Amino acid sequence: MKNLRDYLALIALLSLGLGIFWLFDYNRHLQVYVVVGLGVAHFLWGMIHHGLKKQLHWEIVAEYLFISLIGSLALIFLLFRA
Amino acid sequence: MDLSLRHLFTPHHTNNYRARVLHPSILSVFVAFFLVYQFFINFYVFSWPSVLGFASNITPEQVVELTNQKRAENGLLPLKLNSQLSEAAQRKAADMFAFNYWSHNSPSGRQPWDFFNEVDYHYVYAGENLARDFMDSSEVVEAWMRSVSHKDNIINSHYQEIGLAVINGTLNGVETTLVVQLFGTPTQVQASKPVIPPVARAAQKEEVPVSQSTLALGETQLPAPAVYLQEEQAFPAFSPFWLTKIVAIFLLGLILGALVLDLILVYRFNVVRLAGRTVGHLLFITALLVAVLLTSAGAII
Repeated sequence: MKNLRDYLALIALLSLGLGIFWLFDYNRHLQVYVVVGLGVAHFLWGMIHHGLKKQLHWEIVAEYLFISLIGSLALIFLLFRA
Repeated sequence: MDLSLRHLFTPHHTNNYRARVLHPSILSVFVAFFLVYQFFINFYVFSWPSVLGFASNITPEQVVELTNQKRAENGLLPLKLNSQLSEAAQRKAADMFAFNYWSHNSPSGRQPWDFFNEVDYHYVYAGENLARDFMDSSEVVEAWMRSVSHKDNIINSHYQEIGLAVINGTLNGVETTLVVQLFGTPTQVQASKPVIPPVARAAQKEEVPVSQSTLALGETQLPAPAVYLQEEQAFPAFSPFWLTKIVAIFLLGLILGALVLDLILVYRFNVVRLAGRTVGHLLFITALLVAVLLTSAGAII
């Protein structure tokens, strides 16, 4: 796979975040920080990944921004209710 | 397949070979929907607190039993249930509901130890664990055991007695079940032992002053055990937590489904487009969906 290195980096970041999220499930504040971190990491990863491929167009930026926002907001609001 | 569904969920010439639900314009609608949903839930919670809330099956007896079980697993003696401590726990929970706070210290500056003093429980060691919105007793104790500071209270060899209160009420506009667990070692029991400096063992490890009361040597009369569980009350119809969890699963599941379909169809028909493939989004949404599924109701401090 052409982008294997990029995807492995993303998998490592997401796994790390998910691990901390699970390990510290009694600490809601830390969990919120982890979720914000995951959203930012996904967005930045997308920018770097597409930037290196010279495909960084506004549609792609908007797509990553909204996907990051939706995922993070869904989980943050859930944590506030928990 | 119906053309509009195809347009929404699969790459097609009508949507520039990208499922419509994955276009920034529709994604921004999802974001707006989630914000409006939260506003609506908040409004509903404050307007009709009896409709949205949380119902649990926690019993004080089980919490005490499970706490002592954890102590036994760590080679410690069981804690004796003390009615004064349970009364103090009951007062703490009532204070939290009355002054609408979720903290060890009240907004007016009352500390956990003030409730010990109110019921004339004179201690050399004291501690407090708090929990809210858990489904059952074992979930509460397990959550405390996963937190280092709360676990320190449960398996603390200095404590000899325990008090428990499980109270339903409205906190921040939401029907809530509060669990207050107080630990203590009365001065009477300690009087015959070597003097040990007082230690604070609350969740935050605050320092506790020794009670100013006189020691009642040889008068170790522990009151009859008691626990407090508020009488049955009309439980709310929905939990805001579960409602939000269902909406989050639905929304993330919808996006995940569209991403999987997109990945399969783009690969199968070898579609070349600006947006490229969607493995990055797929990994991110999957991780967050797992996190949503891992999140359970309940908080401890």
